[in-house]
Amino acid sequence: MITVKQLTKSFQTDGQEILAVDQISFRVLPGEVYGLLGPNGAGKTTTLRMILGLLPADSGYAEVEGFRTTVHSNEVKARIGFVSANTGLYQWLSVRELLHFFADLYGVPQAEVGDRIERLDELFSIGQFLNQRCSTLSTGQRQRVTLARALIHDPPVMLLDEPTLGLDVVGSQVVFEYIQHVREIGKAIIVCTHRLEQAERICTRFGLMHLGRLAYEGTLDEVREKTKCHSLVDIFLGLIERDEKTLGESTTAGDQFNMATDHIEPDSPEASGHD
Amino acid sequence: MIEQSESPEPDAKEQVPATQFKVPRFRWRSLGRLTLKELRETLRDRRTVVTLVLMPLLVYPLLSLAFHRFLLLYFEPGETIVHIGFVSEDDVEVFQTLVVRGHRLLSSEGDDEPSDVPAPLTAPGMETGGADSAKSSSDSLPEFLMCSDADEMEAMLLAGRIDVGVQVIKSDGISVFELTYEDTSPNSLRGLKFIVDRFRIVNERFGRRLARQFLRQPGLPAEFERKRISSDSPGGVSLAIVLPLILVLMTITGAVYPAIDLTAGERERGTLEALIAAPVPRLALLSAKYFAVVIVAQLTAIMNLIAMAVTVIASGLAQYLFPGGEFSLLVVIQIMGLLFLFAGFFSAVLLVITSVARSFKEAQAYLIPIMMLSIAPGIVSLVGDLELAQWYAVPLLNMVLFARDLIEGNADPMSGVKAILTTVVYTMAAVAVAARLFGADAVLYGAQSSWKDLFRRPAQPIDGPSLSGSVGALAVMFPIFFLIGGLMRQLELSKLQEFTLAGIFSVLLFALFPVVLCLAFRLRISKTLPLRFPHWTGLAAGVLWGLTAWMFAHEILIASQYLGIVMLDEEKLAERLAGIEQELVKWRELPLIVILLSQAIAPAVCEEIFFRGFLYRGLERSTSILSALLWSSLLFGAFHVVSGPVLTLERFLPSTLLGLLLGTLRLRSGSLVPGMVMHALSNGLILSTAYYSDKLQAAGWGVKDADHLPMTWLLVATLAVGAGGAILFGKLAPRATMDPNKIE
Repeated sequence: MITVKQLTKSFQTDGQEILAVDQISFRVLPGEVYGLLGPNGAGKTTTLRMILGLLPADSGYAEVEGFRTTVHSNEVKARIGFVSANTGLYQWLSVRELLHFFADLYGVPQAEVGDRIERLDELFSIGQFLNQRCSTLSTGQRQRVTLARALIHDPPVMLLDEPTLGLDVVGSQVVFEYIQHVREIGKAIIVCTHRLEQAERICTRFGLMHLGRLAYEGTLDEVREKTKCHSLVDIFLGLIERDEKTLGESTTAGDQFNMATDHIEPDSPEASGHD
Repeated sequence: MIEQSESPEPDAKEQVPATQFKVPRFRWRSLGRLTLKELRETLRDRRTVVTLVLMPLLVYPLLSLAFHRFLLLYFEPGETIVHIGFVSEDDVEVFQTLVVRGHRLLSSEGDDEPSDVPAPLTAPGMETGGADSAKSSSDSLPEFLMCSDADEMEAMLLAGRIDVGVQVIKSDGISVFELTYEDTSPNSLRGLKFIVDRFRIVNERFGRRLARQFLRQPGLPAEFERKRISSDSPGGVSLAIVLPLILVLMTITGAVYPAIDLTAGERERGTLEALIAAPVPRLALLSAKYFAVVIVAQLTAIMNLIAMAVTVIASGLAQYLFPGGEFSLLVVIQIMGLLFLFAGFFSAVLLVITSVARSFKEAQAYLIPIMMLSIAPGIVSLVGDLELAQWYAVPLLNMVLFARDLIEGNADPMSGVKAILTTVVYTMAAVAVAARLFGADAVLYGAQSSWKDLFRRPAQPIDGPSLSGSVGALAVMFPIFFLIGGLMRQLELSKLQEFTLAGIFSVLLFALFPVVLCLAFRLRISKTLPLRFPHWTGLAAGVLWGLTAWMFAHEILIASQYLGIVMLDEEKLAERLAGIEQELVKWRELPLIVILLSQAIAPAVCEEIFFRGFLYRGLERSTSILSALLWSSLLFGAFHVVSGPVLTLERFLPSTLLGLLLGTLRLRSGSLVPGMVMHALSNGLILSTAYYSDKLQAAGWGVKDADHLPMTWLLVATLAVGAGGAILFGKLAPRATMDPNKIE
């Protein structure tokens, strides 16, 4: 189970303090797929990094199975399978060697690694390129290896950051099946994505983030009920429009959030000051 | 306004369901496999292979060609005449005879047996031959010059007026030609070679004749020894020292690429985040990378050494480069050892730099000035007459000076050990710093200045320093401690001033520094430096051990000396004991309380704060209680070996034992106070007995440094130490004295 309470994070950029995540709270239970949704720059990835303990929170906390990230960072890391947006692999290692390396990092006993790789092969069909160097893999194959790597230690919690980034329909389908599988075996999952139509298909609950805050939270029906909109896309467009009016900004949502990294926020200090 | 969610508010107090997930702990023994992965990755990369194999294969043959060209200019100049200086007229005649013989033999080499090889120099009836009869194809006969004495001969040699100085000396009753040459002058090397070639052939032929005639003759006709002198002029560079420098450069080349690839490369490939997300101490990740870099650097060094040796031997350059015969196997092994140490240190420094970089390009830009800087000590050591004894604490320079001394055969073991130890300490410091920087937020997520991460204050207080933090603090303190100690010895202070300053520095370095670190990095002082008043059992054990444990330390010290674990030979030991006696006379001019305060109480309190406080806590958080106890004691022992003006290896075991007892006190009582009491009592008793040694001696209680203690004392000590242990671990002691905050 994942518990996030009043989590806050700001960054200093060019002498200005930018609030990237603003007091967000939510909880994800085993067997749930929680979609943390929002445009680029909403604070999704920063939230994931704080849950993982890669970034320290300014205030608030995150807990994984009762272990607080700031205090028991290794206990937390050991319980998480992390799939980042970046599918970088060690190009000179074979897939098998890579999986063995991550098994070592997560303290998986040597005797068990072979069996685990076999099981992962059944799930992701990686057997055909297990002995191939990572540098020779296609994008889809790389993504499958990245997903397999995150499961090598069989963690109870999964964090997936934009797992379908750069994938075609077939590749994305593999990811959906993967998420479906880990949900069925009782893992608590957070998926960060800005592809709302995909989120609708795979998530059981949603947290809609915008400007660092959690604007709406609940099942799809609950969110529809609150916003009186049918699709997530409509809900988001409405949300962005409303925030623009609130902030009195002339920039469009696209301009505002078309940032490459998550924590680089809108330029003007007003943009990040809420309520 | 943005609507706040109606999410189920998590209740912090709510019970968390017990997890079924078993967390396997990272085991340091899997460090080997992590290192292997890094090595595999590096060695499969063709860029590494180029540095490792192709570079040496290409560089040395090319270098040898260049050397050949350069040397040919000096060694085969056609009509150049060798100028030889003599001190005695008598020597000239004998020398000339032999050289002419050799000259003739050389020009007729391949002929069967010469009939007129002279008898040994010492043998009566020595033949002389005509100088005009010898004709070499390329060398003219030498010119002889007379010098008034040996000093003038050396002066003329250094001035370049003669190329080689010749003197007949007696060695083991045999007359021997001493050939003095200047190792940085090509002309002198050429002259030496001229003579040696001729002497050798004379000796060889003589040997053959002897063998044939079964004659027993004392010595050879042209017995000779080389004597090297070096010019102080800045231009004079011995080729024998240039070669290790080339090796150093090649080692650097070998380490650079893997260092960048394994750190900045992780970020560039996008693998860093997944790596940092794993539950492994950063020090473990960085150590695996460090070992991989060192191994590749060392492999490069070995490849280069082999390529260099093969080239030098195959091209016939050895005789020109090492006319003194320094290129022996022992020297090669010693240089390899030093290269290993050098590679170890340099790789750690490289990792500090490359851990900050976010891309290959950035890392390369940082490394250029560092590489230039690392060559500087080598250049300085070549041109100056720097002494290792003074410069042992300067990284890189100490290694180059040590290598030079080894090649010249006059290395001072004490300075060498100090140079090695300081290099090891600097290496540890650099690895610790690199571990702190590697994977830091700023490197991971591309903020502007990642050096700030070294000094970043966490948002919330934490329970103690990290492993890299405590080892880093230790590594910062070691050199400062040496520096202050060295400075104080040079200042010629009065005893009172010296003791006061020593006390102040103890407080500043061992107590104030950890406190400042705690405040700066928001480490909980109550957990890191627990100074709470302890349970009486802890204090009682501290007092009992403080009064008696020193006796065991004393016995172990004697046993260490008996086993030969000493850095001082008998002469130096006697010197030191006499020095201690003199010191004691000076001590007695001061009141005992001043000595106790500055030499017993201040160091005891402050060293406990550092070793059992800061260092122990950092070790405990990342390893286990037992390894924290063991390592903090070993480091405490090592610190006492190097803390004095001279290395005292025999102090290692007793200090480590005391460290173990002090650590046990801290562990069981959960406070530093009992250890401080024990440490102060122990120091105080030793100092007081020394202070009153003459009076104790008069009363029949005296104990000399090298004597065993009376058996009754040792019996009492055994009982007291046992009683202390029983109190500490028995039922009287509170149960929950161990620190419950064991994290990670």
